[in-house]
Amino acid sequence: MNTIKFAPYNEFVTEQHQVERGYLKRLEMGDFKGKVYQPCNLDVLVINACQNRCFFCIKKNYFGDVTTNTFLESLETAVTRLIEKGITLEATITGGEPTLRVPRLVKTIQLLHRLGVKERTVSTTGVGLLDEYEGRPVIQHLIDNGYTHNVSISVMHPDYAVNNVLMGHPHDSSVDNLTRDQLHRIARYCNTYGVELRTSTNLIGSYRGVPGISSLDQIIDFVSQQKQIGIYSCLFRELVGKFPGNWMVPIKPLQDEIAKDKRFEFVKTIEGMFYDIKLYIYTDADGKQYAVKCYQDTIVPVTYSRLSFVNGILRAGFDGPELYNHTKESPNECY
Amino acid sequence: MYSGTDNRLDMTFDTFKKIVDDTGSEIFELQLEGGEPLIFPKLYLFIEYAIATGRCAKVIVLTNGIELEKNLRRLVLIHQWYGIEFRIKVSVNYHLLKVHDNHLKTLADLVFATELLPNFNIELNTRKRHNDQWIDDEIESFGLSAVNHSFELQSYGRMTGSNYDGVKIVQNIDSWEIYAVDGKCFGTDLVARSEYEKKLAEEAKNEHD
Repeated sequence: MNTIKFAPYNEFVTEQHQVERGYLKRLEMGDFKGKVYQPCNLDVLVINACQNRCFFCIKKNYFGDVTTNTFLESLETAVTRLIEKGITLEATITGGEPTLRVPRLVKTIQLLHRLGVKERTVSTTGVGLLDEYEGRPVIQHLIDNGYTHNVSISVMHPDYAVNNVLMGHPHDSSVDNLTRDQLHRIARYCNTYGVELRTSTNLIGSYRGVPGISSLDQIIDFVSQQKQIGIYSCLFRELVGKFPGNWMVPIKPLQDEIAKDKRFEFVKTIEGMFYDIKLYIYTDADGKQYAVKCYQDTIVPVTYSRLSFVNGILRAGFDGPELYNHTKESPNECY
Repeated sequence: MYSGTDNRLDMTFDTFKKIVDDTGSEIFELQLEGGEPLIFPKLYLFIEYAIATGRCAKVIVLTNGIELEKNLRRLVLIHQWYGIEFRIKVSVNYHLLKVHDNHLKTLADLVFATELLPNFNIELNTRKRHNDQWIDDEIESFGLSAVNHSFELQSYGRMTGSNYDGVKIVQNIDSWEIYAVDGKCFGTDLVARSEYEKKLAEEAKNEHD
């Protein structure tokens, strides 16, 4: 995916895994016969519902829901089978908005933790991270189950009202997006326990007449604003999909701008299987240094780098062949 | 560490080590005061040394809280690593609230972040002037009343001679001693230590001038 990531320079790592060491592994399961990237990302969609209606949401076409018991039983079956086939998984917890169904979210991360699945990301708007469940805030449950590497909060714009427009937040929604004060509290919580908190922002030219973040200056300003509330990791992503021209912001020119900007010191290029990463060190006006990673897709993958688990169904990618479907067999069946 | 407005005296590590070593085989609680301990460069050396004796049951840090956010991760790590009880006593008064925007919001967030930690407590010690009821109200509005201890100012230190009551000492242990920045022991006489440190600071300043 074409992205620009800012992270604290003292954490000059690339990913949870080393991109250079990724490899392909043959897998036959259900209707799927092919190769998957190792380690393989498993997107676990905890819930379809969300308080926002983002036009860029890549998961908006999923409807329906299974019970939490079915969800957990079928997830356990699917993951166990993958592990038995030698697939190394890293979980991305996502939705919809996963913190809108806290009991299922917590049970899901507890299950994955018990099965030994490493965490990659929790992708959230953060709205329920401070909610209490079983005597502790949701963020603490994430920490308890090892989700400390990358809690990624979607923020399209630092201005609350603009952010709401860009994320299609309905006026009559019963759930409000995070205020800056709430985000600050989450950041303080994360910083106390060494959790890497990140904001995730799609580059948007303009949507419904409201401009998003689209230039390098705006990116730098955003990073600076996040620093004020203790967030030092910020990801900026090119939109995935086809949208009207003024909505889209190509990321390549911004990456080219970084390459020429004297504030960014080039370090090296890492060649991955599907993308290259150009590494820079960025020093801000206060002297704080960031590792900046510019990702650029090199080829369109013919293999699958991710699997998804939605409503008791495991698929290659989001729309690929099924590897497991709870309706076609008993989740409790022993294999 | 002693710190007046224009001067600063730091306890040396040798002095601190001697105080700790002289406790012999006794279990002790370490209370670090200032000035502001959280800006003292050797703070963590002192804490680690005390813990390394194996006899330190508790670390208490008296702070104005301004630098607490920057230090909290490290304090929590030490607490978790060694299993040592920590009490962070944050002084609150009208001046701090006037000068530092969002101070109570910050403290509320930090208390929230640590409230599930067993034996790591952040608490507020509020010193009020006669008409400072608004501070208690603010503290309540941030949900901090349960960790707040509210007192009036005392006729002590800079406030000597004022119409506030004299020093009232509240301690949770029977046997305790206080030391000045140069290691001189004052038993439990806070006022005498305060006067002594002021004198030390004056002398240091004159020497420097």
